[in-house]
Amino acid sequence: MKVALLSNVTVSVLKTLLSETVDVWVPPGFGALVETALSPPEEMYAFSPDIIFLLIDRKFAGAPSLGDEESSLKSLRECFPGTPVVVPDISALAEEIGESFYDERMWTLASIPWSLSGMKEIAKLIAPLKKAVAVDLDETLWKGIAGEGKVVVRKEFQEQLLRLKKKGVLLVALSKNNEEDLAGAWNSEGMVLSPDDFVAKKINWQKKSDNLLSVAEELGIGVEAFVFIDDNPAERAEMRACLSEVAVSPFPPDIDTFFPSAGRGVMGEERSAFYQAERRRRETAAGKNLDDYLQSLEMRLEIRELSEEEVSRVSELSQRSNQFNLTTNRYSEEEVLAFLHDPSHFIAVLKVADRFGDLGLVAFVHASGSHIVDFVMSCRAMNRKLEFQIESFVEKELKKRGVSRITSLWRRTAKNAPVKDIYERMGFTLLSESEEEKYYERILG
Amino acid sequence: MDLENDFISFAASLFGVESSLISPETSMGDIPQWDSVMHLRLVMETEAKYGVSFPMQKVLEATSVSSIVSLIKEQLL
Repeated sequence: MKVALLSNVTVSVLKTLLSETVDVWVPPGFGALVETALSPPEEMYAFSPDIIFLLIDRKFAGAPSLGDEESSLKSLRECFPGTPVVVPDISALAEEIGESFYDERMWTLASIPWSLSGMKEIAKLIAPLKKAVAVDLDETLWKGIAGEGKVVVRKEFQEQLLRLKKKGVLLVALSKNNEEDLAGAWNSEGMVLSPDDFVAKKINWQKKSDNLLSVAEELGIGVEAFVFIDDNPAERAEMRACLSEVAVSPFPPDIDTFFPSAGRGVMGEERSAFYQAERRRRETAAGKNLDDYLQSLEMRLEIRELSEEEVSRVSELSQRSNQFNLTTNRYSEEEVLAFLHDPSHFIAVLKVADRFGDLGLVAFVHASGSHIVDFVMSCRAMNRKLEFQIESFVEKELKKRGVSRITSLWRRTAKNAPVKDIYERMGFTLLSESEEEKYYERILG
Repeated sequence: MDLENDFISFAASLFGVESSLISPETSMGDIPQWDSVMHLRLVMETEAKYGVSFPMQKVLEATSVSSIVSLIKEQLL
């Protein structure tokens, strides 16, 4: 499995721990999380991660703002379609482990906030992929105690477990209980799981770590493949102390952290198709100049006015794109829909497919009257000279609407320097320029 | 096995090399596997294995087998 690890602290030592079980890619430079996420370098595409982790620790380091974190997530989802991006809850883990999670010395020496045991806990969240969930019953799978009155089903949690089971994750019940008290609970109203959904059940009064060990042996999988979920902190501490390889979930559990790809099966297929196509494109590009390469892609473009079904994708593109985004206005779906229904606004969209695959809707241009307000392209489709095609379509359409002079703007952001001169290259005339903005016009002949 | 030999085989398995490649004189940088990143890992793993704790300054200074072994001895005595 290939894991890309982006963090606001140094993860070099953690990487050595992870490298024993998975392939790890870490961006060069200290704390380059936001930087890397907003404009992923070529090496990250070449690595083609199966999963991306954002490891954010707020103990010592300046952590990215919530806004930056959100933009990072959006950008990575755009650039690596179908690849799960997971942000493990490090502060919950730190709280669970206590003081020994951190090592102030290492922070001072190497900008690594964590102790060795802290890093081993983090490594358990990241790799190897888990195969089984060992779950407690009373107060965990349901609220209340079986045999002591009615229990209330934790419906959402059970549905999550059922989904995991359908993806091939093994469910194991570990409960300190009397078997005969449980029958009533299993028959409670709204129960999602049934005893048959569990591949093994240990209902007894022995140590849970002993029970888990014997289940692991029966099933023939390692204890490191288990996630243990229990509402009782004493049981969690016991499991940690006796079977340190087991990933012990904080409670309430955040299961997606442990099964990042299982929760998103369909997208997994999307991901492999995307990477496969990307790999073939790379092979085709080798040794060719850009024009020959583009020719060989046999691209099929569809350029036309925005229609209502594409409103959400246009809003998504406005929020996810950072590099090829001339003014970086972020739009909600409602805002894009309002533009669509306002005759003074015009939005053109571009869809592209090539002989290796379909990239979908990858660019849009938004004009208000005769002014180009937005020009946005996905990181998936950059460097294909597609900007010229959609721009000339926009020109033609505006001309039809009686426009004879169009204006446009580039506004500086931290990430859009690559498109700083794009309007010059398209033959626009620069009217005024400041550090922050460039303003252009073009007379339509 | 004395402490020095025990430590050498421990370090060798951490670096994934034969014990014969490591002697008391071996220092960080002498073998490619012992770089500055793996040095930090070695220090932390050593602390966990021997139940010792390196003062911050020593983490940077103790970069040879013999200096690490004498630090362990100091603390275990």
